[in-house]
Amino acid sequence: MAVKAYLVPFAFSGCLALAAWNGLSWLVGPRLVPTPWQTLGALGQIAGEWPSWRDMAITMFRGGSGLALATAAAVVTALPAGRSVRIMSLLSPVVAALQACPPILWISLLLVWAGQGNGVPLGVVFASIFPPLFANIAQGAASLDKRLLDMARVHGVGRLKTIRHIIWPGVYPYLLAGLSYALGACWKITAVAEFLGSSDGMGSRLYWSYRMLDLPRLFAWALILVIMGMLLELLVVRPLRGLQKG
Amino acid sequence: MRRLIPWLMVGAVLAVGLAGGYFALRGADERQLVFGSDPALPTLSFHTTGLATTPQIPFWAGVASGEITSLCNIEVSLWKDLDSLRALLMAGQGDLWLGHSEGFAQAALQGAPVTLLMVSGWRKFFFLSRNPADEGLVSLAGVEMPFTPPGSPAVPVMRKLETMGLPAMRYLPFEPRRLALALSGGVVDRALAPEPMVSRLLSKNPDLRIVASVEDEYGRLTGLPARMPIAGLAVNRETLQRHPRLIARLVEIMRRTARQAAQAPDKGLSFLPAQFEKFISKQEVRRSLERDVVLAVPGREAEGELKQYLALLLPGGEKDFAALPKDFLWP
Repeated sequence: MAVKAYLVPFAFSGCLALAAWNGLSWLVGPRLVPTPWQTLGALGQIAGEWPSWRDMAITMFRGGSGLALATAAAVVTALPAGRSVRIMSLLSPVVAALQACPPILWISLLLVWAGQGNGVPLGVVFASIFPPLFANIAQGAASLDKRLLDMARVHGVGRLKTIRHIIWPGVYPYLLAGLSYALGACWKITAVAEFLGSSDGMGSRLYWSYRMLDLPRLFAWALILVIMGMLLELLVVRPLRGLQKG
Repeated sequence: MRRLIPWLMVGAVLAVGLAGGYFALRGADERQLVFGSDPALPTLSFHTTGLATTPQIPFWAGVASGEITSLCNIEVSLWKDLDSLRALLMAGQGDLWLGHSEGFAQAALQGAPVTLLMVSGWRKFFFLSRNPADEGLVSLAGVEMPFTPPGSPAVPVMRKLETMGLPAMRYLPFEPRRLALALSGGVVDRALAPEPMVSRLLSKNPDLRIVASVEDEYGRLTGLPARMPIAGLAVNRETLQRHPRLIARLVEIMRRTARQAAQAPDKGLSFLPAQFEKFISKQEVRRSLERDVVLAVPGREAEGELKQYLALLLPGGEKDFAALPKDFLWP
């Protein structure tokens, strides 16, 4: 019953999307909107090519590395910032400035500074994901019960134990909330950064399909991006959110 | 167990990501075309495009003959568009670059370590039309003219030539394939396009014909030969400092192979790597050589033509050309 309740919305949405796709293809013509069958053929070709799998893994690496770097930097800076008004006041303008910068600005700058390669997607993901993670973790650190920390200090509880039993449980839900947003966002940001500033990865594949106007492949790569993004949301982000609520 | 599932999924994503990291950091060897594998020789990275033909025929002829690979190993990377080439130049990424001389000059003016080794792309841009009323450029006055690729130097050249008496047109940028589709679908009737795309368009659209050539008009109005120093090969200045003899030898080889290819164009086009055929077929390149020329002239020898041409394209005109670093042109 639970599985059925889970699957029905997907089946309904899938059928709706397929019908709209078919209708659009019929209306505009398969040259501009390839049919689902044509796209399926292109998907089959992509699945049969080893470099396509490699590019998918490269994109995941770039998104994941950018996220890991941003998380590490956010933990290191946001924990003290959340506990100290002075540090927060010193860091918040920098974070606000980072948050105000659109990814396209980072892409342009990093392209000029680092050229093509891993630097652009990694840097863009980092710059885009760091501010919300920082804000979440700092909020978690600020909401820690000061009395617990004082008590730990009075009773001479070690630093590691304090982190494990007081700081980590307090910050953890906020970190999860930040991560669940960041995981979904970094996937899309990586693809955009690769589209504009990299010669490999899934975003680059999208670019070449567009450049050569190979629309079945363009649709196939778009479909792969959407499916992988959905899988990430359903298999990683939602359970993480569940843990956060639990 | 339920709490474990998301972490297992994170672990799986991490495992795939780690594999990706291996490929992403491994870099060149598997993704790029590699020519030569002598560990005793230096390895130069060559950034080019599969869509270029005559400008790179001399280079590939040198690779095919084994002369270039006897000097160095070559790793080939393909740039995606003129913007990504600009990024490579500004970041000083790579050793050799194939691209537009205007782009090289713009990058050098901004401090990029670029030296133009030789000019090898001379006759590229043609006006095409299927409209029977279009006879020469005069009949195109005031019309909408789709052009490709976006950022093509043909448009600023035409705009400058307008001030010397050519009729003005309204230029609309199109991606190459989009323009091809628009032409074959009858959405547009005219185009300003470069070779070898012109050959492809002519073969796919029999009612399409050449109305005018940008280089012919340029030659007529400037009193120079009917050609423009459009594209060529540039070197990273640091690479030039590291391997001055190698680079000199490279130019020598390309100059010679260009002469040979010009005499036997069919042989010349056979030197282009097979991997480039997914961008443009050998037949299309062959047809393009009916209008295009294979000619490699070292940067310094083409200085006069470059000055005239770049003065039209650079925002500051001759002043910008004069401001180029002294070592912008080789030797």
